[in-house]
Amino acid sequence: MALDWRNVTDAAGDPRRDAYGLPPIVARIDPYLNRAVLTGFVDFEDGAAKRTWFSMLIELKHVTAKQFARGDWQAHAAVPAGWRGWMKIPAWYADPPAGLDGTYWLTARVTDEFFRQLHDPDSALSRCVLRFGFGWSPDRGDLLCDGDPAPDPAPAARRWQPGDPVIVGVIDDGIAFAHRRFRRADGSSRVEHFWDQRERQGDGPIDASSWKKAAPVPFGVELDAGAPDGIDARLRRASGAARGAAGPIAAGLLDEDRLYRDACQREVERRARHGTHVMDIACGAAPDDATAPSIVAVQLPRPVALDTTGHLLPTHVLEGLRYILDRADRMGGAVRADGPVDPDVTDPRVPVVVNLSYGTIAGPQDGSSLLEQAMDELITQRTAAGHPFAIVMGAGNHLLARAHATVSLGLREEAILEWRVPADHPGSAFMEIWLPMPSLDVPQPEIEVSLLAPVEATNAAQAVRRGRVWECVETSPRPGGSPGDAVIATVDYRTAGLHMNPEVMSFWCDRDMVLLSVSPTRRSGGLRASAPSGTWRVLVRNVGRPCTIDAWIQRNDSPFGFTRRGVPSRFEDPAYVVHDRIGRPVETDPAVPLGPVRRRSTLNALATGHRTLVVGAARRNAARMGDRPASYASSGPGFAMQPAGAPDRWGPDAAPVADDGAAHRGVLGAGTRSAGAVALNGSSVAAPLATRAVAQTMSKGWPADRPALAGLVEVEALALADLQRIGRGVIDLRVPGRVERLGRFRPDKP
Amino acid sequence: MSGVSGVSGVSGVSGVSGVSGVSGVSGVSGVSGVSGVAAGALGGGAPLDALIRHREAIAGPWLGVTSGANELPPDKAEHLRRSPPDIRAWALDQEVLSSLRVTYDGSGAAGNPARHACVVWHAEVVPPSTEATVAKLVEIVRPPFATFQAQLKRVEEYADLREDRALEIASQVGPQAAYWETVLNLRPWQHPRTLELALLTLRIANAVAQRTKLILACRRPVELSAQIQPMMPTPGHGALPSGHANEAFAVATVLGALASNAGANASSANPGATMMPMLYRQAARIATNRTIAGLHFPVDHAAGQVLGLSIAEYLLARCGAAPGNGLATWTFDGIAYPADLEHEYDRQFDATQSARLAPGAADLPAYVKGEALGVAVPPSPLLQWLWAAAKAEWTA
Repeated sequence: MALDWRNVTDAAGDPRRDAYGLPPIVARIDPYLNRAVLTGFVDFEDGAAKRTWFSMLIELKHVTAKQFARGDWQAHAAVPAGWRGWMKIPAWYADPPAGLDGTYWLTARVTDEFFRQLHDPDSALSRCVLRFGFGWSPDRGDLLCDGDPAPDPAPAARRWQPGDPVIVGVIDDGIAFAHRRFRRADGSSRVEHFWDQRERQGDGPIDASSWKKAAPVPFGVELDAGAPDGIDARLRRASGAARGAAGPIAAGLLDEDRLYRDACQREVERRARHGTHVMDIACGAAPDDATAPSIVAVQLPRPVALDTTGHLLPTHVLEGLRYILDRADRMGGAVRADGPVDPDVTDPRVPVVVNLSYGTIAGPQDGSSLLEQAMDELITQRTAAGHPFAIVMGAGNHLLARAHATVSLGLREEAILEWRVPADHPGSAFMEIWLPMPSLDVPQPEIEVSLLAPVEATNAAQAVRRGRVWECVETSPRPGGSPGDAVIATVDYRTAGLHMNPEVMSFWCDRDMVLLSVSPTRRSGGLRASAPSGTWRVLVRNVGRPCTIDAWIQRNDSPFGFTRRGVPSRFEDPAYVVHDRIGRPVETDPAVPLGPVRRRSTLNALATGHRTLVVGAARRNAARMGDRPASYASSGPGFAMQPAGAPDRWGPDAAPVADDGAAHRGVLGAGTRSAGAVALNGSSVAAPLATRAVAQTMSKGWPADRPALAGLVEVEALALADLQRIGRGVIDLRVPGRVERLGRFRPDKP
Repeated sequence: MSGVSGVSGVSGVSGVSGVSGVSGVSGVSGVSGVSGVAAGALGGGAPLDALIRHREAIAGPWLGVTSGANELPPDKAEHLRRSPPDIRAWALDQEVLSSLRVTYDGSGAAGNPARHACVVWHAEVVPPSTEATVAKLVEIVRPPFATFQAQLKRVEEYADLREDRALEIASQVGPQAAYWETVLNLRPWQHPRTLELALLTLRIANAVAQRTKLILACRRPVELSAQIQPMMPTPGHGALPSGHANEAFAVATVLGALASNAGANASSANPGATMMPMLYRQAARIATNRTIAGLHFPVDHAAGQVLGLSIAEYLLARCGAAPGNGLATWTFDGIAYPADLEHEYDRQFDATQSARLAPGAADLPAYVKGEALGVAVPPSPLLQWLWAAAKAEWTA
């Protein structure tokens, strides 16, 4: 195999980057976007097909999202005419939910013109955009609705009154919204709004002619409970009554297969799906439970859920959060900025708690990532305006994934990290190396990184320096392929530097980060080269002052509910002891680790924000005092966001029980059909348990912040190691309406 | 004569001879023709033809009665040891069942025309005397149909656990020897009489329960909804009382009485002991598993528990292991059973969860009543023999 490393730092002249108008300043481009462009979008189903639209998550400066969406960019340069043709911003930024007038984060769909505008540092757009990340891209521009806010219909009847249960939002995949656990005794649905962020309708593209400009959602399909073609109507259509049945069966017996088929919901064909289980744990209830909350659910697009690297996630999550808040306000009858006013409603202050059971591994782990900051902003501003709001996430299941390594490098010292990339994997493998925060002692940490392929090759090593992007191509002739087809690895040494956003009085340092990637090792049989599998070696050489670097291998496993797509890559470390003498997995790092791999600091990289509620997974022991972290539960500590600061997060805030016992894995929750139940575990399950607890707390008018969540703990963590994995301790909350799985023998049960 | 074949496996007493560790003997199979095979007492057996030729060859001229055997004394319990366990089981069963009668009482109490009860009696007549000793052991009052309809919701809820419990349920269809073994450290070669007594308990309990089910004629969950879809075929006999609960609680009580005073196992007289609570928890779980499988309502097990505990106490009295005048009449009142109640097995036991609450105890639930029996139940020599042999297996 002939390999060659090439410098692709400068965008000019490279047709791949030119096609998308990426600006020459590497530092401003999301490194994952950069890499996707270089490889011709290898991890996307339609590969190198030219994309018209990109989903973007944008952080603004000098101008709020509301102003920006309304075309008032507050910039000295003129706002480019016709910008709405290449940047579509959903209506809920121009007309934000209550309390969110002053946010600086937004999502949009953009074309390559967006990037071209950024070429000019004095352009109006350059003056507004601080940083951005990209998400999954719908490839049909005509599926997107225009950015102008839709004219408001007459205010609908209020569906939430003060005193009603807290509204629960769920963002997940595979949500069987017609399950009886989400319906009331009269058969109506508690799911007031359901946004399926999909692109395709059924097996084919959505009929564009039926798409209205003033659609209620920027893409995908929305189903309301009460709309003419909404959930309740579909429930009735799929019931026995519609087919002429009579008697008690008519209303109750539901053909769920038919209902989901008619709604083009193929995501719930399997008997168990993550989103349905999570939603049941968070807000499922028996139909006759009068305290059951109303639900707003968002179903992520399939490619986003399937890609567990998570770099497509932030855009869709933020959109989902905005959607949930917007709809919650409407349910409360809130006053709309330009719409008709409901005279009976002054300021409903609708309380909302959102469950987000998603996680990744690699990231700064200090709360500075895009999604974390965007979520912190939402929570801060919404609660400051008097609207109770909380987002609950899981702390991660990656303690034993061997995905974190740390190395201390003295002057000119070298170290090698061994990266075991599995064979025949359909997805790319990523590693993020994070350099420490600049400090007085080490004002500019700097290293050189070489990525060595596990094959004998010519020009197999290239030391990549700060600010450079290199790609490794297979030079064997492969006629007919595009330049991206030959790329099997990349190294992108991203410099970030100081950021300031004076309007929100925050400043923080990005830390330098090196993104390494290895293309899929699966042979696709086409024009695309596959990367060699085996142990890649990452050679790190210190060219600055002594410092400690951390490396995380990004998650890339098979998510639950999808066809298995192989095992993830991990670090190889001979000094890492996997099992103890009797075969249990070792769950703590040795006092003096001899190798680089660590179990500590493996928290969900999306869950180290300052305001999000983060919970770990505990395993119940028959004797209550024996409750302990689940064996896979990730560990803190996080990292500090300010120079010379302390980490804001040492671990999760608390840990609900996500495993009923050592032999009874998981917690019982709904399968996708109303007669089924399935047991799933992980912090994905701990999060909705905490969501349920937080909703109860919030409904009493109490704060729903991190101290409040920690205050719900019943069994306190005793050891520091446990503190970093279960926070203050264990919360034993059971889902009502479910049978006691282990029977009534435990002495603590009455 | 064929070996004792179990009734169909679904009823829970299958293959009495199947617990082969006890005797290592399968029933004597029918023999036809010279070429037929007779299974010898030690297994393996020699072909008929071989035995005929063998005698012809070695017997020699006839010399008359030459063994030193004398006449056996009649009616001795120890003659039981001359037969293998599955053959003497017939005699033992006949001994016990001949004093047990099961009748229907539709007379109602306090003028409730809907009160249907089944009564189990100790009814002993020892001919040629025509005097009968009659004592009411258990009365099971059938719950109203509305209770079963309300209980169906519980069956549906428990279906969530089918996947969890599937292997257990499948392995608990027949005698749950593996489960008794795991609690008591039973070894077939060390405790053959114990296992024999346990199987006797199962058979007696089953016979009484089958007769009771026939009288009470209670519908099964599968008959009340086509959505229950049990995970194995529903037996044809009635739901209440539950056969599994009846047998499991009966066996637990008998094994517990045997294993007490053994050096290796804690005795039920020891308040901190775990043996009886474990045995009863096991019985409760065996019963609940039948609800999970979709075959029973929880109320069936509450009634089965009352019946099983009583049958065990009766058997122990007949074995001479407990005083014959210490029994009580126990009533399960299905009319007083709360319609949505699960099987709260622990409510029938004392604080140590090792023994049944005394008759008349204030803690008894409203649907269980006990009254001391004024009649003494005499022991049976046959059962005393078996009991003594089993008990001897438990000395340290």
